Amino acid sequence: MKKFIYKTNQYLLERYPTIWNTSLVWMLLCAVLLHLLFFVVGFLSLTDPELLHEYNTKDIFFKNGSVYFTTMVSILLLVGWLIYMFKNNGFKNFYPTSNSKLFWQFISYILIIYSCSTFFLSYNYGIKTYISVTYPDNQVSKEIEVANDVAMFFSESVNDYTIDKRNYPQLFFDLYCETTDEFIDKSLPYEEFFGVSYQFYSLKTKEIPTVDRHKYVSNEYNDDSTLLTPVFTKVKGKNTVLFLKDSVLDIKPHLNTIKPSFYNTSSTFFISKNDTLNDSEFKNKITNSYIYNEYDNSYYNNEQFSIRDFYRNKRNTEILNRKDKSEFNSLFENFIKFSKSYKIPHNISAKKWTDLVYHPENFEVKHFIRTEPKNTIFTENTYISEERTQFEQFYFERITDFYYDNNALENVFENIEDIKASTPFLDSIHFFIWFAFFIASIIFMFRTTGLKPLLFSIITTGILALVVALLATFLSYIITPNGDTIGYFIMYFLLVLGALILLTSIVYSDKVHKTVAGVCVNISIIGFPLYLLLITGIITTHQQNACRNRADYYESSYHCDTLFDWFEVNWSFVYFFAGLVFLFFFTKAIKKWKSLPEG
Amino acid sequence: MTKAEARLKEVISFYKNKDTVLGYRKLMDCVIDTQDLKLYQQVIGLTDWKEKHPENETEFIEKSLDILNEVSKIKITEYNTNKPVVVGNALTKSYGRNRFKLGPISIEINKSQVYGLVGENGNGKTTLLRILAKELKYNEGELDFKFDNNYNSNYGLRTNLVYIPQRTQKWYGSLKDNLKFVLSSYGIPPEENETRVLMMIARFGLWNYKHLKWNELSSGYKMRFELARTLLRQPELLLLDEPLANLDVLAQQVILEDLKSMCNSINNPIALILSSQQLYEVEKISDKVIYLKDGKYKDNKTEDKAEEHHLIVEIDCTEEREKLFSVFKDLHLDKLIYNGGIYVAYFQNDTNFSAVLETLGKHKIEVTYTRNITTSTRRFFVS
Repeated sequence: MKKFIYKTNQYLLERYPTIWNTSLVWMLLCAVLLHLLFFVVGFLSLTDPELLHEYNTKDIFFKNGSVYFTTMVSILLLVGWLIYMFKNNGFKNFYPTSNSKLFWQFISYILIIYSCSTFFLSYNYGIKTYISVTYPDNQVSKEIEVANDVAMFFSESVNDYTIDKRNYPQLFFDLYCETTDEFIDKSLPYEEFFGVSYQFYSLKTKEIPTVDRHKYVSNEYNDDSTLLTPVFTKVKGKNTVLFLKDSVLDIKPHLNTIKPSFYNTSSTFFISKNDTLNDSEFKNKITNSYIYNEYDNSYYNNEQFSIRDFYRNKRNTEILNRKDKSEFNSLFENFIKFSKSYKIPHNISAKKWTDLVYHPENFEVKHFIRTEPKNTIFTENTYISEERTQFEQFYFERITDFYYDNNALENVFENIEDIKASTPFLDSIHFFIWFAFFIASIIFMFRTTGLKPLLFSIITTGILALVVALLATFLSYIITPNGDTIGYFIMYFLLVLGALILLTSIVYSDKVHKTVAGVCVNISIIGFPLYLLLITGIITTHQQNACRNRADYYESSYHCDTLFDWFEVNWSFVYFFAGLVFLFFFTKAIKKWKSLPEG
Repeated sequence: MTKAEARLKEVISFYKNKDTVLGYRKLMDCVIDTQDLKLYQQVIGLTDWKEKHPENETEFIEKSLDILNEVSKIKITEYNTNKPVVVGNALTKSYGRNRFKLGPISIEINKSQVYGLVGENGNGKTTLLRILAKELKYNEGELDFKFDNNYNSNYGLRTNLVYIPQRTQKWYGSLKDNLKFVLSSYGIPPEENETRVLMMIARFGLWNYKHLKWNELSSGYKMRFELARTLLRQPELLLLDEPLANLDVLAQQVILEDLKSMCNSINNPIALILSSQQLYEVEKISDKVIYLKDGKYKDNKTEDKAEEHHLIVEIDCTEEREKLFSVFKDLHLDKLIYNGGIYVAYFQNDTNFSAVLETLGKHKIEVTYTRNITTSTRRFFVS
């Protein structure tokens, strides 16, 4: 092994001195081995399904300490590399070097730093691979289907089973059920269950321009809010459709029972990422949320009417209507089976569950199931029972000791889908390329211009930042704050300052003291992408200002087409590659600076 | 007889007189000038053999002569050393008003010439060297480099000259790797790299140290390594600041000898300027010795009018001044200066140094040391 390393080193030393000097081959090899190691660690980190019960397991890298471990490994690796690499510096000794060799030296640094700092990626790809292999798509989608069917029997809360939740048949989907007492007109037909009233309204629609929507928001100055306030809104292009209460309908003929029933459940337990049903226009909280008046604005209700609820309720109704006890039993068996494999905490069996819910006449909810084991110290029956409403009393009288942690199962599905859909490489590329770029730049500066100019560059940058900040503060005192005047001044000041620094480093380096030129060279190396960012920023700001002055700005829903919209966050890549291209040509200026005499 | 033939003849005579150490160094210089890698390999093989059989001198001489025989068959083109490689004209450097000022100094040097730069501390030796190395800006004058290698930038120019400061740079890793790094950076084909490096290692007596790290070497060997590294770079101009500092007397001699032979290469000569406090040693190998005092230039070729009719002798003895006056009364002694340790006697030009020695002997003066410094820059130090 030692002989192999020696031979390879000699081979590289004789042929590719830059690669030998930067230890590119060895560092990449080390990085690959460590990436493999972290891939395996990542692969094994979720072998216990209980870890999937938590919210957002995708971030386990940051939660279980791996982030500290990989950071340590990265730091050790990079420090070791630097110690080794700093041993030889041909540039410092005026060994011949071409511009491209110098540039490739920089690229080597970027490659090494990127590969040695991204163990996060292999760890996460390890996790992703494990999840994909262990929980194949078709298995999980079947489980989700079963879970969504079983979900109507979770019997967790009375609210899930009251009649206002009903969305099937079509009539229930079309009607709006008012439950706020203040808005219920008791002179008209309504239903009541243990102190809660339900009044069903038909809805009418009204289309208005979106800009006028604020007029329909009830507030304390507008007493006539019940008529004007829409119960739902939906944006359609430039207009908004308001759904307003129309007339009250007597629902009694359409109901078998007013009591909580499984027939009423219409919420979907888990919506898979692969789900094809398009109900997005109904999901938007802002366009679809119920607008409250002053009586009820403390309570945030995210009521939505989604076609999904209709389909769910329909499917639930179909299952119930078959009244097939064995079907119920096998559904629960199936569900308990995979729940076990996910180690979901529960104490209920399929048979017991069937017995709890199977009441074929109206499928009323006669028992409730907990989400966690019963607390043996405080029991509900002894605990401030006298303050319970009738509604709550109904629940506490029917609660059993069975429990099933459906929240854990939801997290399991959420995590599995999340991890499968994760794209660690794309999510992190911006952070890591810039991290590599900046660290590589600092090392490159140290290698080409030396320690003194590097330190002076850091000091100069700090002083310039201070000067700019003080200038901005000073200006804000002497000029009456007028929109973007100060912002523009600072941006143009930086533009001129940047141009001066670039010019000094490229053209006039022999006209100033070598250290000053060195500082300019260093700031140019690291600052060019930031300079481009500044230019794009100035253009975008101008465009935005011009756009705001346009007459149709408010009608175009506050949207301005700016330079930034061309590539959006991908400007990052543009700056990065522009920075590299700049550096390729800038190596000439670096060599020129290096050969300048002092004094 | 060509230069190469003369040199070969000289090397053979060294061997015949059993001066094998010196002879072998000279042999290697001859081989290096051939640029023949097969011969390089033979020398490398011989060096290795020699280290393993240090006792077997006769066989070593035979093998060496065989190589010399091979060398004699290869024609070596002589480099024309008539053109100067660097010309400095009226160079001045000022560190600010009322502060130290160097120059104006005019200097030109050809390849294969060695210039010694002497003077007390703080008189501008390092400043001059750094100006010539383009490390330091000068205020006035002109500095022109006339290198054979083409270059299109100042960086390119500086790859052709080597300036080694007094405190040499620290190096890390093994000697051999560092030397190989030089060659590969200079674009030497990979198959030649090892051979050339080993040749240089052999030449500078680093054979047994080649796998050592830089910081494991003594000062003398560090300087040898520095020279090997420099020679591999094949510079056209070499500027050395105090290369002899920290070296023992023997090492100084070897280094100077090596420098001289590096510069005097027949087909690849180098122009060398070195500064040093070791006056006599430097004078021995230099073509010209430049003396700097308060930034002003004097060299040992300068005719000093006040001193031209003098024989100047340095005498270290414990006698009283009056005694010496009486001893030298027939030798036209003009003045006798005592600087606390040494007398410097100025005789009229018709006095011979041998007459001075004879007089000192005749009067049984206890002389610890005496030297004729009429043409040495030493006279500038003591006057």
